[in-house]
Amino acid sequence: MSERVYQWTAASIVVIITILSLVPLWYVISGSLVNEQEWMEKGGFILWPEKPTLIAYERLLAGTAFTQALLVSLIRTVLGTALTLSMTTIFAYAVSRKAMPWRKALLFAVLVTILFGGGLIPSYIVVRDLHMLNTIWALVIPSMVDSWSVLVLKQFFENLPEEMEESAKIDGAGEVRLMWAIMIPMAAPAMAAIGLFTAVGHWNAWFDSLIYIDNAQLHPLQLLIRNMFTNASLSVQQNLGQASYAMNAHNRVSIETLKMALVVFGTIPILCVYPFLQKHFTKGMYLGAVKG
Amino acid sequence: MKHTQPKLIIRMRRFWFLYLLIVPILIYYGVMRYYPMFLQFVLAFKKYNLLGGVWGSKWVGWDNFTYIFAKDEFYQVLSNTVIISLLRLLFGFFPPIILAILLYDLQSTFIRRISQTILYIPHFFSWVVMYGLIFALFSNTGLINQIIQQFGGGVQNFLMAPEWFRPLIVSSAIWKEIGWGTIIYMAGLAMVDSTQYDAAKIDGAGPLRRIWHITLPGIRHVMVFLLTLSLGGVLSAGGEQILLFYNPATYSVGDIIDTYVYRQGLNELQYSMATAVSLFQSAIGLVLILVANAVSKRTAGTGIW
Repeated sequence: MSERVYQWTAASIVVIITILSLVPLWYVISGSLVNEQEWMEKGGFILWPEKPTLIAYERLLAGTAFTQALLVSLIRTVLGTALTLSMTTIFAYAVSRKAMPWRKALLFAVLVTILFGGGLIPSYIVVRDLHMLNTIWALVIPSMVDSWSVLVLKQFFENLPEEMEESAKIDGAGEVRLMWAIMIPMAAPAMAAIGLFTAVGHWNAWFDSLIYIDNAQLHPLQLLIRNMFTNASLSVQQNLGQASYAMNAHNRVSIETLKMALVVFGTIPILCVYPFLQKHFTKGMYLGAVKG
Repeated sequence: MKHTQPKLIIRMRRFWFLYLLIVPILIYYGVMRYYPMFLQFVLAFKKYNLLGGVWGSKWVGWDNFTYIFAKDEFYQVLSNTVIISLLRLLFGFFPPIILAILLYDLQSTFIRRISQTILYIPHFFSWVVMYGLIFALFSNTGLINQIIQQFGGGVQNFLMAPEWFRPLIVSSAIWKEIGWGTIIYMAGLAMVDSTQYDAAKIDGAGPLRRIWHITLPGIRHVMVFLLTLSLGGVLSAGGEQILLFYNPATYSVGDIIDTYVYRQGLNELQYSMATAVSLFQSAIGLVLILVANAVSKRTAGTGIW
C-alpha cells in the first residue's frame, strides 16, 4: 500500500467514525426542536428540523419536577466539587511532604482503597446508619476524597521545583505559609483539572441517588431522565407530560420530543465545560499519573 | 530508641497543622472506606436481620456461600458476567488502537484536530444520557425502526429482545469510549523515537510495515497494561450501564453480578446473601489481577505495579 492510498483510507475512516460519533447527539438535538405537528408528519424521523422551536425546553422549565431536579443537580455538583477538591488537595499535599512522619502509612492506606472497596451493601448500611438517607449528604460525603486524584495531585506537588521550598524557607516562611501561599497556588492547574473531572462526575451521577434518595423531590436531573425512560415512575412522566398539552397545535410537543429535550439538558453543562476539560487531558496530565 | 523518639516528636511538631487538617479526611477514610470493607467480611458470614442490625445478627459461618453456590440463578449471573466482559474485551480492545494509529499517522492536522475534539465528547456523557440516545435510536418508534419501516420491514423490538441485548450494550460502550480510549495510546505513541520513522522511510518501508515494526511495538507496553487491567475486572461487567439497559425481558442474558447484588440486596433486602456474592466477586477479582500482573511482568516486562 502506498503512502497516498494509506493517507486517504486513514482520513476517510477517521472522518466516518467522527461523524458516527456525532449522529445520535445530532438526532436528539433535532428531535428536541420540533413541535408535535412536525413530529407526526415525519413520524419521528427528524434529522433537520424545518421549523425549529424551543417549546419543549420552555415546557420543561415550566414544570416543577424538572426545575427541582435541576436545582438538586446544581447543588450536589457545586457542594460535592468544593468538598472533594478541598479535601483531596489538603490530603495530597500532606502525603507529598517527604519529611512528614507517617507519610508512607497514609499513602499505603490510600492505595488499599483503590484496590478494595467495601461493596454496595456495606456502604449503604453505613450511609443509612449515619442518617444520611434522603439528604444531600448521601450524594457528596461517600465520594468526598478520591484516592486516584490524591495520587495524581501528590505527584504534581512532588514534581514542583524544590528551589521553591528552599527559597521560601530562607525567606522565613514556615510550613503553614509554605502550603497556603506557595505550594497550593502553584498546583492551581492540576486542581482545576481535578475539579472539572469531579464536577462532571457529580453532574452525571445517578446511581447513588437511586439507592440513597427515596424522596422523588430530591432526585437529581440524571435520575429524573432515567425514570422518564425506564417508565419506573409513571408519575414523573405524567408530571412532565402534562406540560405537553396546549390548545394550539403549533404549541404542542410530543412526549418523545420532551424526552429528547431532557437528554439534551443532561448534556449541556458537559458541552459547556468540555473545551476546558480538553485542554487538561490533552496535556496528558492524567495519563502521566497512571504510570507515575 | 532513646535516640529517635525525641527526633520524631520534633519532626511531627513541625507538621502539626497538617495533621490537624487531615483529621476529617482520616475519619472519612475510616468510616466511609475501611469500615464498609470490614463490614463486608462480617456481613457475609452472618444472617442479617433487619431488627437487630449487623451486630445483633447471628453468625452463620459459610451458610450464605453454600446457599448461593447451590442456586442455578447464581451460575446464570456468573456466566452472563464473564461472557459480557469477554465480549467487551474482544470487540472493544482493538478499535481504539486502530483509531489511535490512524490519527497518529494522519498528515492532515486539520482533520486530526477536529476529529479528536469530537471523538472524546461521548466519554463525558452520563450513562443515563447514553441510554436516552440509544432509546431515541433503537426504541420501537426510534430512528432505526423508522428506517426499517421505510424499507418495508417490520418493527424490531431491539430494547426488549434478548438476542439484541449484548450486541447493543457492547457496541454502545465502544461508541462511547472509542475516542477516549485513543488518548492513552496517543501518549504512548508520542514517546516513540521519531528517528525510527526516518530510518524506515529511507529503507523504503510502506505504511503497513511501518505500523507493524515501529508503531505497534511502541505501544506494546500500553496494550499489555490495559489488557491486564481488564482481565482483573472480568467480574465487573459494567453494572451502571446494564442497570439502565436491561429489563425483565432481558434478565436472562443481561443480569450480571453487580445488578444481581443490587436487586437481591437493596430490592429484596437480602443483605447477607448479596454481600457474600460481592465478596466472592472482589476475592476472585483480586486473584485475577495478581495473576494477570505476574503474567504480564514475566511476558512483557511491565505490570501495573
